[in-house]
Amino acid sequence: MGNRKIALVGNPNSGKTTLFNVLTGANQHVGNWPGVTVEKKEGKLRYQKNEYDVIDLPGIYSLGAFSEDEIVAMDYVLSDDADVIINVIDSSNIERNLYLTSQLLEMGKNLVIVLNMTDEAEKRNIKIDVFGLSKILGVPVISAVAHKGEGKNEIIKEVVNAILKKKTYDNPIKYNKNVLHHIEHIEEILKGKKIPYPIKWTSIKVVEGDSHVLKRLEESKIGKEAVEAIKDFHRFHSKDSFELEVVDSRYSFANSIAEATVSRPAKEVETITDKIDRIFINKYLGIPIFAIIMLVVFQVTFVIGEEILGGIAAFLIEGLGGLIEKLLMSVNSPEWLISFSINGIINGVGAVIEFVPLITVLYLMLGFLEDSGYMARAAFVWDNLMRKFGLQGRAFISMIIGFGCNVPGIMSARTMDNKKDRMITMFINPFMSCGAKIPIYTVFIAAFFPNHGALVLFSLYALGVIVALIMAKIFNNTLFKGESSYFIMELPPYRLPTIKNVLRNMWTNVSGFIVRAGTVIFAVVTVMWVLAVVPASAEPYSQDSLLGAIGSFLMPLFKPAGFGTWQESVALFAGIPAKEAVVGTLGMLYAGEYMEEGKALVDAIRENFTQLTSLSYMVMVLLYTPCAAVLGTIGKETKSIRWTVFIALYTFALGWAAAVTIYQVGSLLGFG
Amino acid sequence: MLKEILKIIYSSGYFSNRDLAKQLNVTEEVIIDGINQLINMGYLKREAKKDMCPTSCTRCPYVQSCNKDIVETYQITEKGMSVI
Repeated sequence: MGNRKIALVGNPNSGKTTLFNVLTGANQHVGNWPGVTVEKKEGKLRYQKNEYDVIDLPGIYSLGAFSEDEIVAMDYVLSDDADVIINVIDSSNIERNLYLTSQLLEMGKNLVIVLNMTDEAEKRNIKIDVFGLSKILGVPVISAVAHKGEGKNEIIKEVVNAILKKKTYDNPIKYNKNVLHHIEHIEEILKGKKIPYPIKWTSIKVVEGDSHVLKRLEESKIGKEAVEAIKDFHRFHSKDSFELEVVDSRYSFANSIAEATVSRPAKEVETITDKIDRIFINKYLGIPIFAIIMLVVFQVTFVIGEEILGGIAAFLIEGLGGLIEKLLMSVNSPEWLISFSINGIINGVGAVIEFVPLITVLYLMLGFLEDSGYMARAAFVWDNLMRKFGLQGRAFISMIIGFGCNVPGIMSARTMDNKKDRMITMFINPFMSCGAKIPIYTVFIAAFFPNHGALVLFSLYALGVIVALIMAKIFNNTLFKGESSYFIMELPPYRLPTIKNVLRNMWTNVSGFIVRAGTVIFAVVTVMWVLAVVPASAEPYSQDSLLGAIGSFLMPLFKPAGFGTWQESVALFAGIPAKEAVVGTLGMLYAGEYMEEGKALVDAIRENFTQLTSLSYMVMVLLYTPCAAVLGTIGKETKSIRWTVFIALYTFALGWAAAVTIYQVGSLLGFG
Repeated sequence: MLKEILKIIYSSGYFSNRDLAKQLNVTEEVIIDGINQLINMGYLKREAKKDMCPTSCTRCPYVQSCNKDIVETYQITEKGMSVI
């Protein structure tokens, strides 16, 4: 006769493997369970001249068909290969572990329960009535601290005793009458048949609809008639939720055992999260609080990112420009190279780079909000409002991502199963003020609203969201009718943001901004510069240049919106390849035009715009045609050129109409 | 317990493991397992977020933003709705 076998079953992190090591010492080897990649650990226990095989089964939370680990453990326990099963329970987490115990009891196997990590439970002031637990379950229960070897001898004695007694148990779980009736019905079908598992347990699993057990039954020799009867049962009860009833019965059993034998220190009735959430996710206060928080974010961004650090960045870029100019002149570089380097690169790309400190502070603040758990609340608060506009709260997450860049914002709509939700979310995302639009807003704010920067920036962000909601409602009632999916959000507890996460979030956005400035913006500004200096016969940066001709051609279109010069029109045109290029192009063109005066971009803008036209210009930038990368993404995601063209045109029309309205109404009211 | 979880999260539109544990008088770990059971059995669906960026995106400077984990969202499936 071979060695008696002991199998260890338990939740992950219950200390099962530690106990295995304590019982077997160095006598162990590792292999794989046949046919699967699940690790099999076996060892030898020597006790009173006898040798026992100890098998460490994979750590699992339940026995079912949901993972290879579960199937391996379930099949082994049911195989009768083991003489006794040790159910290792993490005492500090006993309530969770008892679900698996209930499944082992359901199997009726010879069982010994080890309450491991009792020292952890004691530390947390969790008291377990070990005697009571053993009495209620009718199973030997031993307390242990496996990593210290405490309880080892008692466990071995009890296990050996259980092997000798060969005890089995009646299933203590109480199922509801309806389920019980069906279990009995299946038992009738299976009676007398050669089945791979115990009949009572198999009947429960059939009613539960365990796919692994059903498959094994089909493969075994229970006959076509029985297989068909089981299939008929599932077909007939396809709308019933027996599996939920069965699982709930186990939970009821496990919870009742825990209630009777476990006492925990009373939890704080109201945590800080509860107190904060009472205000932050309040039906009426949620959105105003969100607005205030965002306003504070923008205020801090402006004070630190623009007023303090922005000046330093501008100074450094200007200094760099001076140095490059001197260097190029000292080596007698051709005039075109000096012009390209200073007007194109320094005043064009440099005008974009200047905003790195502002972008850095903004994304640091947003990262802080995200990592604190607040953004999840914001998404929930917006969810209610979104639904009124035919959207689901998940669209708000796409919108938040769109505040960084519209490309990932649109991509994130992929996760939505409902086509209507997905399409509308993609169609409205371009109205989110992405990082690329911030330099444009900031340069106009610096020129005309230096004392109300945060308020203007906040208003632009808010306007984008409002337009997005209105358009969502329109699309919902016209192009994409139908019901939205219903989503539930999991609100994590508030936590102190980690520096690592906040910095990572910031760096993702800032590095993206810098990379774009050095690649796409550089390319766009270079093309614009070439167009601004050709043909050779024309005065560079003048209306006679090729770029001037394009600008002059576009000028009448933008005249009703108050954009009176060709530079303003052509800068909007340059913003279609990449939004930052609006600032880059204006920087380059004004630098060329005001070369002799040496005017800064902000001063040049002040000379060419008014407060009213700067507002209409910013709104145009906010709403008009998204950049090429976004259009490309929409094309890829919708797999339709027609929808892409539609988005390019409808956003342009909307931006133009809004800019014209602001300018015309403002002029009528005397703000012109 | 699982039916109760479904009903509570359906009526509130959001949930936190802590709140559910408090309401059902169990530990948070039991709720986590319960939610996973509901997902495994097809009553609840966790919205996939990872790997939604195609590999061609790896050069995109904003690639990491695509997999942002602002909030976990779930959907009660048709099967789940039939229980409610």
